Amino acid sequence: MIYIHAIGIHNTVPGEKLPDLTGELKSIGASNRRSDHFIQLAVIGAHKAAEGHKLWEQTAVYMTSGQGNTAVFNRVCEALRIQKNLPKPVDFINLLSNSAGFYVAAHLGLHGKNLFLSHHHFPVQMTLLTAQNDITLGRQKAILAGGVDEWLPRQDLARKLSGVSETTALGEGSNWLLLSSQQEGAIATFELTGKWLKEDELQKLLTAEVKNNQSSIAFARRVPAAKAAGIMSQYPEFKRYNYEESCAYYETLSFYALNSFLGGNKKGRLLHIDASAGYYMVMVVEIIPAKI
Amino acid sequence: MITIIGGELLSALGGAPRRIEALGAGKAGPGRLDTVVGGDKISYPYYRLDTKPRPIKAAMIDAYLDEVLEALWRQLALKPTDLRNCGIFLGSSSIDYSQAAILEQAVNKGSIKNIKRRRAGGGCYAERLMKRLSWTGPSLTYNTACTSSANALMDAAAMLEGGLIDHALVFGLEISSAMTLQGFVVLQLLSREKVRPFDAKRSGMILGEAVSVVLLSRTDIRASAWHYLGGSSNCETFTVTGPNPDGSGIARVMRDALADTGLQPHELTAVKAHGTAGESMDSAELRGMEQVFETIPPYFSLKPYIGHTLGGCGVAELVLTMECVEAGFIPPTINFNHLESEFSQPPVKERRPMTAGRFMLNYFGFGGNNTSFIIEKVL
Repeated sequence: MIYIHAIGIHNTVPGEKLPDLTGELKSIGASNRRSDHFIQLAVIGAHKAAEGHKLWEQTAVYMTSGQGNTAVFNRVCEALRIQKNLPKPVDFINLLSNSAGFYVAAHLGLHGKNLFLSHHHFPVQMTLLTAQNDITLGRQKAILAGGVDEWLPRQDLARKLSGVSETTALGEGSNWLLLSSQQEGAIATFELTGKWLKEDELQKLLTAEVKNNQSSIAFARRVPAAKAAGIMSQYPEFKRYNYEESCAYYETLSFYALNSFLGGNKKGRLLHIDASAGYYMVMVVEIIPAKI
Repeated sequence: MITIIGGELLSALGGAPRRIEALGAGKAGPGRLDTVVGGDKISYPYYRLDTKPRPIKAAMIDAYLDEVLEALWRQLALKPTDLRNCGIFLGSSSIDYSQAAILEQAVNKGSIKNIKRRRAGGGCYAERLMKRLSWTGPSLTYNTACTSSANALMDAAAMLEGGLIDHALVFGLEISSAMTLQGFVVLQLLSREKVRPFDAKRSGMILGEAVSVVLLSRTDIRASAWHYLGGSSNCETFTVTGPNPDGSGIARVMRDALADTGLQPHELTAVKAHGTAGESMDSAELRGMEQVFETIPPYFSLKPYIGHTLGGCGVAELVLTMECVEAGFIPPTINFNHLESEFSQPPVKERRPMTAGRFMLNYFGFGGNNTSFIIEKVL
């Protein structure tokens, strides 16, 4: 088990137009020089998690995304294929999705390990599993772990890249957790079973969870509605945590689900269930009630 | 202790016997790759896997990953079913390969309806590999520029140490793309002639392709004299294109790697330098080494043999280093003539006998990423 010390939520449903982040960047004292929308999203979300905390300068940054900095990749493709131009130097550098991690570290004055991670099925869970393992082993004292996905004006293309239906409403977000091995000052605990669970193993986990009568369950957007409803009727002891109404789809939405629960409740325990390729991954966060 | 069971590599050097011959003799050189700059076709030196024109396609990358893995299975006389609870870790600076074909097709906006609705993203190659091997469990894909596969290796070792997996296949992947070549052209970081690491007259890097793999294990499923001892990775924010020229960030990651392993600087046998032949990068690396070592151990660069294979170089150069020591030597840094007057200790210039020891492998890259890890071969 590791501890969550802070959350950072940046979650928007853009609608028709790419949101302008300039004002928000200015308000947090971040530069937009040489950056782009994806990088700015990353900096804003990470800033919110770090705000008010004196971060150790070796704090690591572990970042994930469904598709990475797709807008700049698309821009470079257009420059090469349509305009027959070479890419701009800044675009080429920002093509590396880990450039966003660099700007997060630069903004927050961090010098620790800085990773950009991807996973086809469970990007959020695998990033947090890596963080949990490194903290548990004592390899890292503190990690800012976050998921960043940007909204693309070309919605048809974005939906195809994400593999979602033509009618799925798309949003964007940058959601971060400040994780540590230290209990003091923590707002919640975090636990993730590294194993991918089969159906019977999920049932076993849920049955064992019934004893925690304050547990809520959130489902990742990929969990079929019928499956989610089936679990809720099978286990009436649990409350369904609905975060879906306040967001549109993006691939690292699971970070938002955790963060909105932690940000919106003073106590409680949340099981976040995600499913892909016939397996489940379950993340558990439990709020540590504030001392009066 | 984490055992390195073995490794394999596809690169411009060809198969293992040819690789050893080239490295032992200090003989290798790039081919060519054409690109269009300002409407003109320009040919750049490039260390290519083969010379056939080939647009980047998912199937091609899958085939390269399968080919290098097949070679590893043959070398170790293993098969996928011999490994239970094995994770896959893949490092590449170009994980957006999976989007390339889609976005290029999408540039012609009319054709978007023909694009399949199938999730792209950086993790898809590791995922497809998992599927072909009929494995489930942890896999991760790393994009941290030139440290990508070195970081993948370090995290694989951490997952082994944490008991999350029993074995790990770590891949380095870098395939040529017009976008990458043109990007480096724009940044004016490429040499038009030879790659001369640490030489006073160095003129930039030459890119290369490599697909490589190593098998790590926390159980000795095959006897191996090679072990991973530890390492460190950090991010310095001096500039997004590389380390601080004063070498302070590089010195810090090397010191941290030594601290992680409990070794003193004098206990290292040799250093596999990053040695890109970049003007600022090589100076920073030399300054960093001077800050860490009273006497710098013998050091060498492998870039003149396979080029700078970017995110793939972490694993590719690990495999080459192990192969050289297995063959009883560390290789000369070819094309090197003279150091700048500021520095005093040149890289290894002649093949040097070496059959065992502790080796530090260094990797630095865009995004301020510095990674250093240490391996050991016991006799």
